[in-house]
Amino acid sequence: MPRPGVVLPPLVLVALLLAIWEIYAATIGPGADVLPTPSRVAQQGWADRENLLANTWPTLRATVIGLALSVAVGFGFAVLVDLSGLARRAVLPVLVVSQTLPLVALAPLVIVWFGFGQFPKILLIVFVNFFSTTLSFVEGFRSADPDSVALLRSMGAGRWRVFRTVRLPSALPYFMAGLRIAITYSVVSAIFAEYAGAEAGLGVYMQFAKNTFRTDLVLAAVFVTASLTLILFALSYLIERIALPWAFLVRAGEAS
Amino acid sequence: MTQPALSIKDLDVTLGGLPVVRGLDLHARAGEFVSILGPSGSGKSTTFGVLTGEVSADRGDVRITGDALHGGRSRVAYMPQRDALLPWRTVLNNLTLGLEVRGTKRAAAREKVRPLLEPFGLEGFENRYPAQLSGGMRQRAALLRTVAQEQPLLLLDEPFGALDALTRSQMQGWLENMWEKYRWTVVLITHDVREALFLSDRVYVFSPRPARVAAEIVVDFPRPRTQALFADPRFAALEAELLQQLTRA
Ligand SMILES: Nc1ncnc2c1ncn2[C@@H]1O[C@H](COP(=O)(O)OP(=O)(O)OP(=O)(O)O)[C@@H](O)[C@H]1O
Ligand SMILES: [Mg+2]
Repeated sequence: MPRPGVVLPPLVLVALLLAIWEIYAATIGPGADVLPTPSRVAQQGWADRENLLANTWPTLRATVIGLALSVAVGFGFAVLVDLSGLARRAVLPVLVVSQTLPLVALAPLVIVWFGFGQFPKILLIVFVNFFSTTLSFVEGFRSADPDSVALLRSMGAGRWRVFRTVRLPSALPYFMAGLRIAITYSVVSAIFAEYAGAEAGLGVYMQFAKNTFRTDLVLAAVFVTASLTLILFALSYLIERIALPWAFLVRAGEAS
Repeated sequence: MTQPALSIKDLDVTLGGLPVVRGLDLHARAGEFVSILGPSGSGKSTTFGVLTGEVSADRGDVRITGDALHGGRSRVAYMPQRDALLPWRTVLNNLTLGLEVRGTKRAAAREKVRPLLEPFGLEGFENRYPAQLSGGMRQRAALLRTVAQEQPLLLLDEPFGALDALTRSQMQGWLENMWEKYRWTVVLITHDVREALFLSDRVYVFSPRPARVAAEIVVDFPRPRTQALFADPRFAALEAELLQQLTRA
């Protein structure tokens, strides 16, 4: 569990910032229509919770499916790159180029091609993420200890055995780090795609609220978005803690 | 006479155009403890690489218990220069690794390893992770993983190189004891002349790269050997001779 020394300072800072905002918006601020107080955001957001929640699910679903696919695609590419030099030379430059394409132009096109459902959102998330998930796996495979590989080979282990006994587990901590980066990008990408056009989702909600001059509801949706990201983030630590208990021991050993 | 556990005749190895081993002759009888001393980078680990199948030789006749190396299963149990314990496996699962890779089911492998936990000083630690062990325990675990494979030849590459002086001398004493008990056939690479003398029946001194045998010394101190051996004038004489061979080599 994180120590209070880690959790407390940012919480205090956030509370402080909210307090300043509250006082500013309630006194000399430009007015509730332009800059609502945090308490008003919370109040109005709560009042509209059904609508807000109904738009949270599609975003969350797209994010989780998009993340899972990003990981799967990244894993596939990484294994390919790891096993074959030809694949490495062919695939890696293409991946790099894919990251130079401007998302702002791409998102509306994807919507034009695939409609307003979940699919274009998921596609966009995978597109944004698969590069970093691929690289984190590639780096992870490469981090495998050559002595451990030599040891396995001395026991008569074949390529597949070495892969699943040494290379894959070595990659998992790197994969978790990559996953956390992907989480932050995924939620934002999902909302970005929804902004470009979708039937439902937090992006749609924000756009609608903005068009009806409900800045308080826009901010409420922003708050939900941030919470969503943080929850997924925390979940990734929980999963790591449960699935890779040794990784913490190794890290603690290196720290001491 | 029975077949030697290991026999290497006229071995040549070239790595990336570099002659690393040239005309190496070496053998180990069954139940014999043999050490290899040599300058750094002389080709000691490379010689082990040939035996584990990691490195291919240009020529030479390499036999383990009389049979040529090529093809078939690995018949050596190897302990790399660092312990190479897998951090995601518990100690017990690290110990069974060799048996598992060689085709034993995990449950059966555990039954084989368990009786060895106590003599190797690992009892009560089998469910820990390697990161939770001390340096000496890690080394004992790596050694247990090696002997548990029940192969006719143990290859130990500087097993105590990374340990502090005190732990190292404890481990040497402990290994001597264990060897007395189990009489494995061991080839040990070391940089430590006293370690080689204390543990071995015979010591090979390698030349600088390309490696060949520059000297071979029989060490016939009676066993069991204890720390008292270090005070024996004959020990000091052999140590001086070996050091001289090493610097001349
Ligand atoms: N793949 C390789 N390609 C080219 N040269 C290599 C390769 N592997 C090892 N060498 C060289 O072969 C020589 C012998 O290496 P080796 O690891 O066998 O030495 P060593 O006797 O075990 O040394 P140390 O005592 O430092 O462990 C070294 O000079 C090394 O640079
Ligand atoms: Mg070496």
